[in-house]
Amino acid sequence: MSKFQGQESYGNQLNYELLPFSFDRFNDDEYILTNLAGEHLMMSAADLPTLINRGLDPSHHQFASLRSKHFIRYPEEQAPLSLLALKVRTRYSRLPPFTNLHIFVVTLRCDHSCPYCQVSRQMEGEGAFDMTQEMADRALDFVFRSPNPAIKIEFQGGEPLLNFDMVKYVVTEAESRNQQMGRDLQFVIATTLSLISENVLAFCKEHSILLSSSLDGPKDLHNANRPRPGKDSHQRFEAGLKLARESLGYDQVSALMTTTDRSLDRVRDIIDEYLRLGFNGIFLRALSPYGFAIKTKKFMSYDAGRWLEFYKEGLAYILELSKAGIPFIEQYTALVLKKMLTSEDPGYVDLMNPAGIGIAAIVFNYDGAVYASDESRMLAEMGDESFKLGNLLTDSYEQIILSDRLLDALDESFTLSAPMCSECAFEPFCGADPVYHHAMYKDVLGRKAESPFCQRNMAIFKHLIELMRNDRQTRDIFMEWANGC
Amino acid sequence: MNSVNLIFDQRLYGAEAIQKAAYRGQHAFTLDLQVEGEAFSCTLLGNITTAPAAFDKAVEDFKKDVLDYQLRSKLRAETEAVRNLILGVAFSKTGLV
Amino acid sequence: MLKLGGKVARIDAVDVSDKPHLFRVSTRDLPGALRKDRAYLVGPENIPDGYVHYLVPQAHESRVEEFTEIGAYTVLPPEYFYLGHDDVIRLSADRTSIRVLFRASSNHNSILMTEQCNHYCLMCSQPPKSADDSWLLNEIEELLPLIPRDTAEIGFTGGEPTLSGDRFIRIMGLTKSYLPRTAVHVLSNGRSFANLDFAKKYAAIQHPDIMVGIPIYSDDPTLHDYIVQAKGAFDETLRGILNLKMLGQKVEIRIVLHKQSIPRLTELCEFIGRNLLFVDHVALMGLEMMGFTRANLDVLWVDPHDYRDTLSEAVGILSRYRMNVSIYNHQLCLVNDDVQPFYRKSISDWKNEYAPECATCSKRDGCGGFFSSGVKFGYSSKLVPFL
Repeated sequence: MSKFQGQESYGNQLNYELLPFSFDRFNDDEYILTNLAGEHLMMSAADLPTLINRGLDPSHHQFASLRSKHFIRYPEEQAPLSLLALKVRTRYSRLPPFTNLHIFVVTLRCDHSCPYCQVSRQMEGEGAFDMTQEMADRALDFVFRSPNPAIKIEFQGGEPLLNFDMVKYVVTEAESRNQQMGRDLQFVIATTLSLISENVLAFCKEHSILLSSSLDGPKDLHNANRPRPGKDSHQRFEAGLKLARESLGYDQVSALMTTTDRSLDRVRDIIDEYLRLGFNGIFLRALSPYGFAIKTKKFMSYDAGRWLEFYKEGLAYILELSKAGIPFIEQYTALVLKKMLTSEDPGYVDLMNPAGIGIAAIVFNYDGAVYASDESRMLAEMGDESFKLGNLLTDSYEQIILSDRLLDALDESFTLSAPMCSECAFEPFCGADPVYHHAMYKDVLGRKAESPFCQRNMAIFKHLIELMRNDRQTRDIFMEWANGC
Repeated sequence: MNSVNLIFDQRLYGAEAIQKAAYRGQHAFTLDLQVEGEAFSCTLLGNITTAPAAFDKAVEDFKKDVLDYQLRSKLRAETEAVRNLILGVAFSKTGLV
Repeated sequence: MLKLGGKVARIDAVDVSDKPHLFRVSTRDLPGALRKDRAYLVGPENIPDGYVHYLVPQAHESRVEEFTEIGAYTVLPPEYFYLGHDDVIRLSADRTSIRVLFRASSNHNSILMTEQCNHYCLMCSQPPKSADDSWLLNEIEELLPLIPRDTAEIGFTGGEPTLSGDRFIRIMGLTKSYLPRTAVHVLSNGRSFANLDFAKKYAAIQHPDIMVGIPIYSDDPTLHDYIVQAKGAFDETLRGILNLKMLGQKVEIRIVLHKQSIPRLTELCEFIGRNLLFVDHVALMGLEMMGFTRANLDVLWVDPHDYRDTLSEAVGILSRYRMNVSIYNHQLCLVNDDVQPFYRKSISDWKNEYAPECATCSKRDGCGGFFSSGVKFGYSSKLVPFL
């Protein structure tokens, strides 16, 4: 019909404009493009210079996607700018609410003596390494200074149950104060479950306290990693898990693993153990560079390479399970996917920019010392107090939060100002980890070209993108994970 | 110790692109950068721990990276204004900007 | 398909009054005070006095002898068998034509605000006309008070309803006043809301339950603009959506599936998931074989059977992004099982029919069937009745 115009009338000019984006070589033939909103697109190496020189023809098979993912626009279009701004604002929307996670180290005493832990002390008499009521009160003053409408208080140690009286005090005192403050208050206890009792569970149930425990793998691996008198950490964990689930509810107890050398060949066994014990996900954590590893300079890229194999094998197994109808999530992957496939930020302290230290999480030690993160505390136990921000007994909230130590670390590790990071295509998915880099290189930025942090994350990003583009079912599963966590 | 010398015409390549590319290759080599007339003379000296094959690969990547950083510079310059505009709009309601 | 308007026979002479009349229909007798603005639908029983008008179905035509007053009645052709209590009809000034404006027994009442439009969609089922039809708005203002207060939902369509600017706002306000408990669904291309002042006026109505249904046909602005035949439409529509959401208003995105929109449907759904996550509903709609569709069949028609997998993938993406999704105007045998949770039996009850192939199908009741236009003008060659 003559009244209708053909498609040519509605597009095809050659005057498109570039929107801000980054790119990196993905493989020999392709580049990956990303933008502030974390959208990504693969382009052939031949086409990229043409695109940037504004010579790409509108008939190019990716032209429409370049527009709809907001890599280019026409000058008269306003919606791309509004949408990019909206997505960027969403991405950074966790920043204004400020600190959410407040860690209370109520004691250093522990019934375990895990070699990878820097902080635990033997079960000496009470008091020497316990948090006092005065510390707890001041810590709570600090907590409620955070403007965040959602506050999470997590008890750590040593073994928090060894100072359960203090846990109870903090919980009841926080709830009491919260009647005025009106926040969404959540409590977690990080415990081995070896010392769990009906008494403890009754209190947890009454106050809706979640339990976060440790499961490193099947019995032999777990017990080798986590020695205690009686060599029965795993058995006690399993018994405690059952009790806790029955009392508090199945999903109120979660488990985290610590990855050691011993773990690296046994990822399927570890996942099977999580399955056996009824968990619906696992967090395949990276090897920790702290303590023993740093002291012996053992932590080299060899280990980073082996860890990557461990991760890929674990992820492949989990995808097999998911495709076979057994829902199971790898949680680190889910966090990364949230950044890749949505505009939201999962708020994971170790993969944020600006770094999560202080502004997302903070640690109150038993002795009143305030640390920028849990790793900062571990570093201090090894003799390096670079991330100790102050002490509750002597310093005010302002002095601690506005301390140079914190602000400088945040400033200097800011990825968008960092060499290599600022122009890296994977920056939207990545984060700053000043404590890690300081521990490794005595410098909050480190040299990313040599940093296992960078190698590991970049390898993961590429791996996930490759998996998604090669298999639609995997893409569907990943999309589910990204929107679920 | 592995070593390679590359010449970059100043009319075509900027010092910044060369330096950024060299920063990226630090895991394999260090850069010695000199100006010679209208050209940059780059001597890449392999790290003590870098094997020859790894060094060769790093040199190849270095050459590609120099081009990439040139392109990034162009891209950044062209999109500076609109980048600021987007960030401005994004934070316009926070009272911080 | 129900006939909603047409000619009626006049038997007696009548003074031509100067404007058409809207009447509420009564099929049962009401107290005297309520009779004076109602039209009584005559049946076999006694005809009560006092109604302002009487409707005599052709089957009861003999009863006209009971009427002594001139102009008191209209004879209805058999196509209006469906008329019921509380329906609202318009009789023309000379009483020679009738239009049913509101059907109390229907869940799908749709009020036409204008036939003018600033788009010219390839598949438009209500082709635009440029004549001034603002009389429709006058009529709507008369109609609203007559609609039963307990009506669950009502729709406004066009053309482009918002073209009348302030009058549109006024009518939405009146709808809230007269029908405070009725959910309202407005079909619009959303472009008027790109004007922030207009969007604010709309938001200021503070209607408790109103949603604007806005079509987006592709993530490719050029393709969308082509489908709606308006340059710059995509950009302005998006700006309208953003304003509406910024002001806390409910928005639905509607996507009509045809040969132009299917190839990039999954990209569009990813675009919606990334950029428009906050919209309240996404509706994927089958093609109606009415209006312009038949003129553009060569660029529009694709057998739904052939795009069933694309539809599954699209729905999968939207549901993974936790969005509310519905599939409208499709036949059950032409979609995959995995979209069952999102399938709605949706064809307006005055438009739906079944094809001959459907005679033996065991799932007729759960299936929306076809638009009458579809049965007449073309449908999938791959219909398979469920056993």
